[in-house]
Amino acid sequence: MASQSTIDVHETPVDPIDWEAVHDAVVRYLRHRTSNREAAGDVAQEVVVRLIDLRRRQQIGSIHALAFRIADNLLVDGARRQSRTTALPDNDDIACPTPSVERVVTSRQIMDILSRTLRRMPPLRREVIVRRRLNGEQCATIAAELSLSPAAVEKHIARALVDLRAALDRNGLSLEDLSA
Amino acid sequence: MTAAPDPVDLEAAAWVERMARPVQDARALALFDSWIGADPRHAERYGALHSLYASRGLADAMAMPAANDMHGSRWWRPIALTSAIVACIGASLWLVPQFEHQHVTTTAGPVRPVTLADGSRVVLAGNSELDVRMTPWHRQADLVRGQAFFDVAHERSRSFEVAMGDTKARVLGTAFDIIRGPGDSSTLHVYRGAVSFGRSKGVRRVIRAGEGALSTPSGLTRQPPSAATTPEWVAGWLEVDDAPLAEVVAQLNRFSLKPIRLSTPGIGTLRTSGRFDLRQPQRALDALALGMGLEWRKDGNGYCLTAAKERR
Repeated sequence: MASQSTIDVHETPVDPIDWEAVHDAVVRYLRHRTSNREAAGDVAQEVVVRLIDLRRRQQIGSIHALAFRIADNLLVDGARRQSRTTALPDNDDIACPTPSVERVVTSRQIMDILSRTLRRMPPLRREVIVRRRLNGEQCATIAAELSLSPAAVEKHIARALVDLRAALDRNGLSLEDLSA
Repeated sequence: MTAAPDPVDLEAAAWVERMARPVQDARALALFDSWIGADPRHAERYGALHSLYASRGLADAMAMPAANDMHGSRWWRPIALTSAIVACIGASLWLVPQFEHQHVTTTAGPVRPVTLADGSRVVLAGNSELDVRMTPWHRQADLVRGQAFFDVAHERSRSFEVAMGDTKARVLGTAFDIIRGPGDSSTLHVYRGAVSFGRSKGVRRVIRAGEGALSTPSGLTRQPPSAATTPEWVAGWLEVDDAPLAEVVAQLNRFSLKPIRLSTPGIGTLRTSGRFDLRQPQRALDALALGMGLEWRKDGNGYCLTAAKERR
């Protein structure tokens, strides 16, 4: 039957974007942002819905960059809403409005490890990442002031970030659910 | 100390830094999409490293004196570097040692760190005004308007008082943040030590590290506690929990060089939550627009936020 009927190709233009792949990328992106798998799936779905709608109205530079940003905001918004409306947490994943003792201790440990790792870094690398992240300086400015090539600045930042992450992993700590 | 890092991690970290820049060109954005699509691990590693890069934990760790001890600098040195564009500093005259008067005003834009005569450090938000008088027996600061984070030098014999009109915060040595709100209200958050807080005719309460309080003409109310060591805005973020859009925009305007206006009547009362980048108002606007179904555009006077038109 299908072989004989004519299909009107103009009715449903083919969307060149593989939305399922975008959905999966968002789920993977969120793996280290929340331990709540169900919430990650819901967020990814909502992200795709919003993106499809947005794409009809405007040009999008990078689908994934925008998808991740929408996901970040939905996650923060969702956690806040839940913490306000849930009277009694029915599972441990729900963020409590008051930081629990465990959360405070964990965030202390994270701070200690991050600051220790920063202290042990080569001073130049530490200066580069602090100026970039805390101070928001541009790579070009940092490169000029420290007599480095822009590529060297980028390498220092990447290496510093990977080392910081590795230090947390080695200590079995993660930022899941702590940092919105 | 560490094994050679995984090349995928290094690539992901480089993307995290590139995507955190205020502007990306079309070519970089297209490359990012193809990089994410090239391998399922890419989105996951990017997410892991991005969550660390964007976390306030990292900013806090960097702001700690020990972590940030480069060239004998102090914790706020990076902030000092940021605020190259500073509006105007009022007269800073000194009469006799120990009798000092400092008056600092900022216009909307980057934060401004100030060191007071006693060694106390203050980070002043944009569109704020602070007047400080020091005597051998007393330290008095008036937050005339705006918002400030205080890290007060401990002195046993000389108290430090911050006045916001009728509301006063009295301390010995501690770190705290004050916002002067509308209608003679002030919000206090204490990050270290303790502050005695209250109105001149009314109860005073001791607010301890991690606690917050709101003072209005009708009295004091508690604010949600926090485990942070410095306020979000000092590191460049605005955290909002279920606040009206008008209030969010008023806060953003303190940090934005160009004013943001609400152009559709009634949208100021819509409520929102989120974490907004104070150093990049356009990003904050993007986030607001995405989260609330609004649109923004740039015009001659600044930014204009409106309800989204349905165009289908």
